[in-house]
Amino acid sequence: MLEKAIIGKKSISAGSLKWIRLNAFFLISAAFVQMLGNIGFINQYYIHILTVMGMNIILVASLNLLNGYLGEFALGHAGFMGIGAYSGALIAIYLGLPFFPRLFFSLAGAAIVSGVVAYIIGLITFKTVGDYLAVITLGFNMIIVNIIQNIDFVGGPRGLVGIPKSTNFFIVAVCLSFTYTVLRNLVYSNYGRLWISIRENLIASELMGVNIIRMKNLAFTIAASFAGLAGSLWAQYQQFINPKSFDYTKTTEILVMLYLGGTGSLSGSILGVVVYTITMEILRNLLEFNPRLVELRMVISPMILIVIMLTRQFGLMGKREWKWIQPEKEGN
Amino acid sequence: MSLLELNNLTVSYGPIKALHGITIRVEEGELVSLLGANGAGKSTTLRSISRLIPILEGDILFNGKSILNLTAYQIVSLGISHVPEGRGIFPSLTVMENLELSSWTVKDKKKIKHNLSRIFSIFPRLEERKNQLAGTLSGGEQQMLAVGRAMMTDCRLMLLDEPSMGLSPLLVKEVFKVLKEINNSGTTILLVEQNANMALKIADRGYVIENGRIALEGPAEHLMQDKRVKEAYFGKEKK
Repeated sequence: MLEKAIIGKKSISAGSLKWIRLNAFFLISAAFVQMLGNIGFINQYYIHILTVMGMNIILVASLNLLNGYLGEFALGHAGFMGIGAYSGALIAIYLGLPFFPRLFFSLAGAAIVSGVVAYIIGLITFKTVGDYLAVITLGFNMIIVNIIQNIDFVGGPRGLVGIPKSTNFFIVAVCLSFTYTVLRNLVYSNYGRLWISIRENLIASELMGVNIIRMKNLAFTIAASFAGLAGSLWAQYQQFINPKSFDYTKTTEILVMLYLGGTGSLSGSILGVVVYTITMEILRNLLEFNPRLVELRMVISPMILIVIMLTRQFGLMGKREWKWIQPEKEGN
Repeated sequence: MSLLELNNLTVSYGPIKALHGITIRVEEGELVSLLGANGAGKSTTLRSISRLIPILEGDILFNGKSILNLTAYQIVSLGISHVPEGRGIFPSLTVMENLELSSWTVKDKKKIKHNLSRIFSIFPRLEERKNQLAGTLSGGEQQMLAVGRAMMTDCRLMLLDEPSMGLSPLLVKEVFKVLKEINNSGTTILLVEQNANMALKIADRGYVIENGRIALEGPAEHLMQDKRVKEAYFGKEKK
């Protein structure tokens, strides 16, 4: 009885309180930045960069769950972003809801649709490992893009237009904070440890009595849901989407940012995106005097990946984490 | 009824037969050693019991029931725990996380706590190092962790694959002493070893496996006296 009473109270631990405060601070600053942008105090260009960064961090961090923590090389992340983008856009266009419910349902719906599709794909995919898994996920990425291209209802290869604009920097910041709260709690839970154990010794973790395929599929489904969320944010930010923007080029971009930051580190996902985006934007400005040179950026992006692999195989962060992301160690 | 029965077990890797119909019995509470040279089929036997590899012919009975149509992860909840060759610890998790993860199939929180305190009383070193990354442990400590992890699964039968591998003679002695202790407290152990001398010292019974066939079997004291075992594993006596 006494034990039950104590559990029933369940006060918030100091560590979670810190995390909540941190997120509150982040969201208040984001709202402030958004306001300054709206009144023209901060250049819209900078707000745009921050927004894109936010969406990319969601994509990279969710892929990190697979490529970093679980240790499986998945190559189809942009496909799930595409599913999320299209399903979110359709919900936003056709349900005719007022602003807030529309935003909520298009984001949640996109995440659910992507998750369900990923779960079904995962049932097939995780019969394989390693190179085969990479090829299969890449194949599904292409299939998804091709299917969308051939559905006339969503505009086919011309793309889908007329999506109401619901996403701004602040909304992205809210989703980012939500994503990191979920991912951080997952990674430091027993599930996260289990994914790491699968990465380090598959047979040993199976010998602990774990249904490996189910656990891998769980990570896959969660990662795809967040990719879908990012896709839906993207669609309602750009107001226009076409299937081409979700093919393997986008997957590669996500991978570059992930490996630049470091796999198996949530801090690395943030750092990778920020460094990559800023580098690309600086290059754009540097090369602006000659429009033909701007295209060189697309050569430089894969070059970055090559240089990382040659010099810092574990990315900028390696497997380390910034202190504020780690939950506090229990005092035992 | 034996706790574990292998009846005429045949296993092949592709066209090559690794086991040619072996029959092994392990009674509840026993410590049985499975001896043999490299490539004789010892590890294959353990792997087929924990259903990591497909079986061509024969049957495996645990507690009187066939476990042939179960998968590797379902075996664990029956009460069979396998410590694989090379220990299979997770280097970038802490000692505590390694242990906690291994109780994945145990739902009873009290039991987990009880098992944990039992492990720490047997291996005080692990308690000292519980917040250390498992990859930074010494070889002996890693072996202790591997055995501790098997104990966390709340098993009735523990399958150990060469626990002496890569350990100094002194540490081997220590690990084997602990295995005997665990056995005395009621856990049945099937031990695969190359170190025949040590393995027979603590075992009740033994099997010698040669080229995928059982060559010899009997009580441990008998095997220790057997001429063939002596020649094969202890070296010829100098005259």
